[in-house]
Amino acid sequence: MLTEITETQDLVRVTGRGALVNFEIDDSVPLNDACRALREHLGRNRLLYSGGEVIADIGARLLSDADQDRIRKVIESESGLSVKQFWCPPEILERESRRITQLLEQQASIVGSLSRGVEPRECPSEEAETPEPIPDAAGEPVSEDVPSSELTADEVDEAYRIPVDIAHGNLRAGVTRRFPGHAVILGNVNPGAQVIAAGDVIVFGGLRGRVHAGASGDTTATILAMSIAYPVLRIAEYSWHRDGPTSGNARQSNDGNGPALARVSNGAIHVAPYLNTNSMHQGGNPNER
Amino acid sequence: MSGKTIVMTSGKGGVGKTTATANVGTALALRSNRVVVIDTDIGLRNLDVVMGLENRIVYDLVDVVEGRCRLEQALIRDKHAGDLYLIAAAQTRDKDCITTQQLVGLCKRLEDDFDYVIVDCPAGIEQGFRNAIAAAREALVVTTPEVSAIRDADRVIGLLQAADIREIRLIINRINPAMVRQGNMMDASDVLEMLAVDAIGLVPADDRVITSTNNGTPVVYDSQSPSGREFVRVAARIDGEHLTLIDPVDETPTSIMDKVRNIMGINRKASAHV
Repeated sequence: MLTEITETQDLVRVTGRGALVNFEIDDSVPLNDACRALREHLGRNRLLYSGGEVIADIGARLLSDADQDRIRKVIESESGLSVKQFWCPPEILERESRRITQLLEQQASIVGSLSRGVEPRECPSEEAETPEPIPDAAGEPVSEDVPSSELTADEVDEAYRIPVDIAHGNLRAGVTRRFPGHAVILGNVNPGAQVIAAGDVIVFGGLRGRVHAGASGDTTATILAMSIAYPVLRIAEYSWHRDGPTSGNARQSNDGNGPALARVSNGAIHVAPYLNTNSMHQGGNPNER
Repeated sequence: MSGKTIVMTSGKGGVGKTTATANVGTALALRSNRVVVIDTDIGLRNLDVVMGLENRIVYDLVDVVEGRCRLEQALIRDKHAGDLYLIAAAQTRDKDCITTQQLVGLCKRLEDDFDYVIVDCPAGIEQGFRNAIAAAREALVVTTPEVSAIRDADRVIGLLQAADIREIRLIINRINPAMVRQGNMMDASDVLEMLAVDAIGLVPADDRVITSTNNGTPVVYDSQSPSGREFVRVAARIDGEHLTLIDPVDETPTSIMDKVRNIMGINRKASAHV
């Protein structure tokens, strides 16, 4: 229970509990407005906040790492405070987690249906005729494994709507980036950095850090990088690593393996050189499933 | 006068931040700049020892920010370079005893009187680091060609970028040309490729640094020292001169004939490939 309320503002509410201070930031306004209000509040009360730690209560607003950094920067640059942690109600986190899981399950089932040969349909209309089942040799109708009536146009669209997020620049040591769908990194993933994605991960640079593709359990996810040097890779529940340089060879970049693709095959992750265009003229692309 | 605050940082300890601060500060002062170097490694001060000024400390950084003395009283004039001053760190306190705002305020005041304010940052990324980088507009990240130092430098560069310090340049210290040639040490291009920032200095490993540190005289005064010469070039680059980076691996002679040519001053290779 709060024992002391020090001040109330429109968008920023400061509450105290002993030595612990909470900044409750209104979650109903745009983040820019909230940051501005926070900066003004700290500017007005600079003398109050010469040092110590605070908890930033962000309410029902879900923030990306970049947004959290932004709020942290406002607080720490405008006062002597440091942000101990960000907090939002557990029920909000649970709700969002459930929603993402459902979406991923839905996508996985639709992609599975498509791979079994069910063609995407045009937008169904009430006038459309139901196709007759194809009779087998004995004249009995044969039903599809997956009834086409379970697949709506919206669901098909959803299968192609797995979000793709792009990270610009190098991911440096200490950084963890989470992606709800596929991830494209335009830079290196350095040692000590971590990428977690529900879908595939493509790195247009050197991969030396940790990457977890298919983090929601998708074993069909792949990891592609321009070079793979001593990283730790995970796809769904499988993991793979390559030991770093020994004392005999301290050079650790450009290990000469070129673009490489990692995917799960026969219950383990296999990393192989990415052979794309040339091999297609010689009987197919070995990277294709 | 409106000076520039530069933080010298690394993340990892023992890579040569303090040595680089003393030498770059001295070299800048020898170029007729007014320079002050601030040791923010409160509790573990060393910059005064490297500069040979430990016996002249009366007031320190904490005394200034807590108002026990005037700023001018804490400025210790260097023995050799006329326009070089040191503000020493307190030895008996800890890094939490000053705040970010206090250090920012101090640097702003110093920028009015000096061309360069160089802040020697403590190792780590805790409060001492946050204090040290708060006032800086530029950062020099010191690293050695070792995987642990490079990883820490990478983390620090990320934190500097998050703190909106856009001018970040790298000093790669203690490059051992023989080890690089044998493939037992990363070369400058390996380090730069991984850290993806511009280099401002490639400093070779040099035993003379140990001697000069023990004597309390920065190595830039030793014209025979390869590291001292590189620190002089670093200062010139900070001061706006466009000097080509010289990779110690290319500069170091490998054969007897190379050594003879080197002594005669011919065929010295200058590398710009990094």
